[in-house]
Amino acid sequence: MDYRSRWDPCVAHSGDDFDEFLTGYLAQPDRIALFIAGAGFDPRSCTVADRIANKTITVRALLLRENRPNPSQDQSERAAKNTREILSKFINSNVETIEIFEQDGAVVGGRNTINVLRRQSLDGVTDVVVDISALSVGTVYPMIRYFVELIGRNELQTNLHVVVVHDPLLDDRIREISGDVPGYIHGFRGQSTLSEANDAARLWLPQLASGMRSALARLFDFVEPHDTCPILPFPAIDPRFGDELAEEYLTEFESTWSVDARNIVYADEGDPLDLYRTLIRLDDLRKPVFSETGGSMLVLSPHGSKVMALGALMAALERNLPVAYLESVGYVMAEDIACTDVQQSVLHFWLEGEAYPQGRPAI
Amino acid sequence: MANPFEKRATEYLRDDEAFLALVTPEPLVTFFKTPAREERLYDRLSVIIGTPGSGKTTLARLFEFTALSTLLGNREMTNYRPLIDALTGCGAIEEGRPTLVGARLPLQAEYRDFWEFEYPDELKTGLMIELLQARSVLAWLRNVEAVGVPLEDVTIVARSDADAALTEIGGTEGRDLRERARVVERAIYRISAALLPPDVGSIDREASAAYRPFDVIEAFRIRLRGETLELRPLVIFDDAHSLHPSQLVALRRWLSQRELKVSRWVLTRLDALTPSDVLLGDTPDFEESALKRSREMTVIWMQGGESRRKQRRAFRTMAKDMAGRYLTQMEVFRRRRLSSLGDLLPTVAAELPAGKRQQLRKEVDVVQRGRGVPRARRVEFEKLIDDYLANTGETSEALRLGILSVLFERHASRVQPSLFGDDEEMLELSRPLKVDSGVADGARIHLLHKYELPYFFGIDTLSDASTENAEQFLQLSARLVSQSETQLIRGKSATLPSGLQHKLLRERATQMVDEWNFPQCRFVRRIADGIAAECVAKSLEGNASLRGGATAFGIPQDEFDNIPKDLPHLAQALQFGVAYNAFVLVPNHSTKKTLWCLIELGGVLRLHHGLTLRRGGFLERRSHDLVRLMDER
Repeated sequence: MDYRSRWDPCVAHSGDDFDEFLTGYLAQPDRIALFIAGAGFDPRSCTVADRIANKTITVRALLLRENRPNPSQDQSERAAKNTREILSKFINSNVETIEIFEQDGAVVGGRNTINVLRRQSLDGVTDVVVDISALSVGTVYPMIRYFVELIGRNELQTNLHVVVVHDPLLDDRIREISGDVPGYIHGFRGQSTLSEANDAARLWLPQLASGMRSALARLFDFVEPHDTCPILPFPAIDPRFGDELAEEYLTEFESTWSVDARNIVYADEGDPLDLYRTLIRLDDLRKPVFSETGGSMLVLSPHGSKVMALGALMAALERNLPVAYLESVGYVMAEDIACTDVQQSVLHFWLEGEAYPQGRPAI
Repeated sequence: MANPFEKRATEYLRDDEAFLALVTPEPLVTFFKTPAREERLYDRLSVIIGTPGSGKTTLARLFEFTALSTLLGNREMTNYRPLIDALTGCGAIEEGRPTLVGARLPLQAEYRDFWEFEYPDELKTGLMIELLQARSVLAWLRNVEAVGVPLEDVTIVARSDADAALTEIGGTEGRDLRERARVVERAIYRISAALLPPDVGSIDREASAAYRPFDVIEAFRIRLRGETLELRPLVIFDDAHSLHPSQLVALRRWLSQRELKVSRWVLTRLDALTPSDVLLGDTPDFEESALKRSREMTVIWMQGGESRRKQRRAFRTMAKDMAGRYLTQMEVFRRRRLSSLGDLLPTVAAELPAGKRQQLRKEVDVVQRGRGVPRARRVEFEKLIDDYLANTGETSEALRLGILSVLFERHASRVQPSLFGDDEEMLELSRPLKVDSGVADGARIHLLHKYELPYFFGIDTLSDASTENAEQFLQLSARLVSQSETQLIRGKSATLPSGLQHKLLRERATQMVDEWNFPQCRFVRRIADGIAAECVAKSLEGNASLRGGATAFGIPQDEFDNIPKDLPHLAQALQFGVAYNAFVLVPNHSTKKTLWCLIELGGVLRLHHGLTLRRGGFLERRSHDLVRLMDER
């Protein structure tokens, strides 16, 4: 079998198929699941937990509470309510707090996440299910890498599932307040900082999101790319969303990033595998071209849609791509978002385990 | 169409020619010439502190060997002459040859990670310093190679007493030095990049070896264009604000050693310092005495280090030069030999339309009657105003009426009204009234808010609104330049009338404020809006008591000094507000026999809220007023 693309094909479910998957697979009596999810203010926090709790699944829940400085009272209350609700659904559960920033403003969320995971007993766990809907990219990326690496090294014999509640409109209504020190996500430096990588042709692929112009400007300065190919959502639930983003970033397209219209990457907003395949293809196309002149390096910057961020994660894992990121110091949420009032579509991706042939090379 | 004003200078860093064509030499002279002349720029640690966008990285880039070589390789180009002269003044060039091999290392990203390892502090610091040294060596060699010098033609001059350390760094030959540095870099990278760092016991031997090139290297000897040059190594650690405060202290302590022959600079943003450092204007925290500190370290402040008037003047010169360089990058302007942004921004004030002028006349008459100003006094005032306007060359009737209104208000407070007197009685003034630029400025602000008379126009206004920050200047200019370009393309004049300049500048400022996205920006915004609202109210008082008006809160200095200790959250908000140019702090401002610390609004906020760009007017307030603003929703 050709392993050029690790997750092509990828076992995935959505909508009602996900419920069937839970009933038909995860609810089997010999299965013990560890369910990891965010215990935050995000209205999606409870969605997947609800679905799992409604089935007869043997499950332990690990809720991660991301702590950021000076949260608004409204968000704290929403987070507390969501946490109570999720805890009430599971007999066996615990909440772990993850400090995202150190006192000096340094981003330590990724490392703290790994420390929390290391303390967890995974004995007997057959399936790890990570719901990334209410977790930030800086937490999710190292977490998934941690599990993928352990499984790859045969230090953990479990299946790894990632679940995300797809709601791009909600993603757009939760605005990030960016921190000011860009960096690479923990575990996703991709050799970019080695001096040997200095000559590599850097292609930066920022995933555009509303209200992130100044954050992306800082990332651009940080990455210092030779070329920039912004990622726009298309097809999308709101078919004009991509155009609106392009309009918002017009100055960057024309002057700062010098983006040629042919250099825009369009990716299906509702299917992370679309972006994943595009990134893998781009990497494959560039490698031979730049092999004689210092090599090629794709640098990713996921912001905005969680689903597309998952596609970028899969490509970054497979190709060891650096992921430049500006962690959020907080969020601004439209006040009219009710806790349960969201249009939800659940997507499930089986990343590692029995669904794939034995002997897949480790990442 | 691409507009170079939308780009930051750092975006040109990859291409030496493009970069050098844009850099103005003025800041080199302002910040580096004196310490270089006093021989304290290269022999000890230099710490350069400035706000984001103030040009630290741009300046540092000029000292990189590739930039120096490109400059000297094209010395006949008249464009480069001022830069070469400035760098010669700074000691980086002597007799047309570079004296330094400079390299810049950004400290962003991974160095801070060392502090998170579960290792002893000494080991964490050691690993970081070792990696910095390895990367410095690699960066120096890369710079030398980039100008076409093969590594075979590169050796180091080593200290005579450092044989063992010399072996550890790979010897004196360029190629061996590079190989050794790469091995060390890779070994440490494996630790720092790992999801889980290894236990102390399993750290790679290469990573924990005694690799200390800074203790060994005295100079680089290279063969360039048939000549042998002996160059002093200079390393510039950029973005030191990314380090943990303890790492920064350790780094400074290491770099402060006078025995090091390597020149070393640390570039840091204001917010790298503690809130106390930023708010109290102290030099970076160090335990040693000030005298010892000055012997070990040269501190260069890119903001607030000298007379503000002088700084503003210097920035105006630099901004004009920079704008000219950017403008000539644009074909539309270059073709028409338009190389001065000032020429596109005339300073002829706009006049109010006839209808509004009529309305203003009536309003001034009402003020006159309301304040009981006799007709004869009005005639006196009009004469004063006409004399003033004749001197300034302004002819605006609206301004004339605006000043008149201010004088009427002032008149009321300078006469003792007679209870039974005649309205036309000429009462004696307690102090004579005069018309000067302050009164005129006050009147202009009134006219701006009440009649939308354009206030912000001209290159000096644009420069002053940038708060001595190059990036803000470019951002504000971009919209004006773009409009001018459009007009040219449509066959119209390139100049922008004052009304249009005013409109575009305020729109741009509002956009910039709306796009704020940095830590604490929610609180900074609340404080800024609160200060601005109170300042606008004060500025609109009829008598223009603060001339152009207020633009700051003044907090008693002793009370302000306690903010970091007593109100840490407020201190943090102010720290980031200062770091991101929302506020400018003016400590120890003496007024009414009291020392104040002024929290001035930055230029962009003044444009946004329609406040004067003149400095000095402030409202007396207390710390708790700032807390109140911060907590307001």
